[in-house]
Amino acid sequence: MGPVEYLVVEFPGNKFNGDIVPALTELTENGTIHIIDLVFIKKDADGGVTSFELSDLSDDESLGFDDLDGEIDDLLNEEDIRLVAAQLQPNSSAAALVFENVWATRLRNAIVDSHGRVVDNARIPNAVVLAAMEASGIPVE
Amino acid sequence: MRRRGPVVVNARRGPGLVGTMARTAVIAGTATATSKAVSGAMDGGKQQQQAAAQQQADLQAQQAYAAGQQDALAATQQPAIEAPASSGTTSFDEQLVQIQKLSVLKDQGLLTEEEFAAKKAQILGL
Repeated sequence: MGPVEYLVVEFPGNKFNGDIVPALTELTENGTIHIIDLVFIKKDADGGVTSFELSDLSDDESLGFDDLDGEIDDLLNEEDIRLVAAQLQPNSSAAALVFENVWATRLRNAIVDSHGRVVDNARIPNAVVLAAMEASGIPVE
Repeated sequence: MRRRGPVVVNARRGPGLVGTMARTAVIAGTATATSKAVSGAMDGGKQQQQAAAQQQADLQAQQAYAAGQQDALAATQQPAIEAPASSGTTSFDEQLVQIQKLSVLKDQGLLTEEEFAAKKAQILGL
């Protein structure tokens, strides 16, 4: 299995929004990512938190998420849902996704096949790169 | 999308990811994450008893980590403070590293916004 990350997407208002599904469909179909968990979270105006499984949602509410290829492996637990919810605005809805970066596995396999060795690898926060580019006088779009 | 694990009974009761990540980052190791994974496998009653002990352990680990971070921070800052004659300035890379470490301390609530801003200005020589 390749490196795994989680992503929490917040939508304003109390309705889930399926606008990210086409992008996720493309990334799963072309083997860039593989989804291994999904949970929906709602936070009401008073800060009350409710979580939903995909199977709790009606066809109308599930917004195409149920057509996505992937698994729901219950990797995010109740504590995770609480921690994630604490970062949400009142009166909002969110989808919390866990996915494997399959592309990284392909790259790793190519590296192994070439008898190379990964010496170091990290994801650099965007702000750090922007600061470095600015310091180097590289125009940032 | 389909569910692979056993149906519903143990849903969302695993060791978790977000909390485990936070704890792992805090102690820069896996000891707490592992013990939490073990306690997660226990029944509810035992889990609650464990929770208090776990919180205490987490707090201690956090304090130990904070102390370690401050040492590390002091170590990175010393050359800049003690040897200004050698080059006169700290490289931008070193400055970035120092600011990033401070930012971690700020996120952990160990530095206030003001302390962070003051330290950042000092590092950047503003």
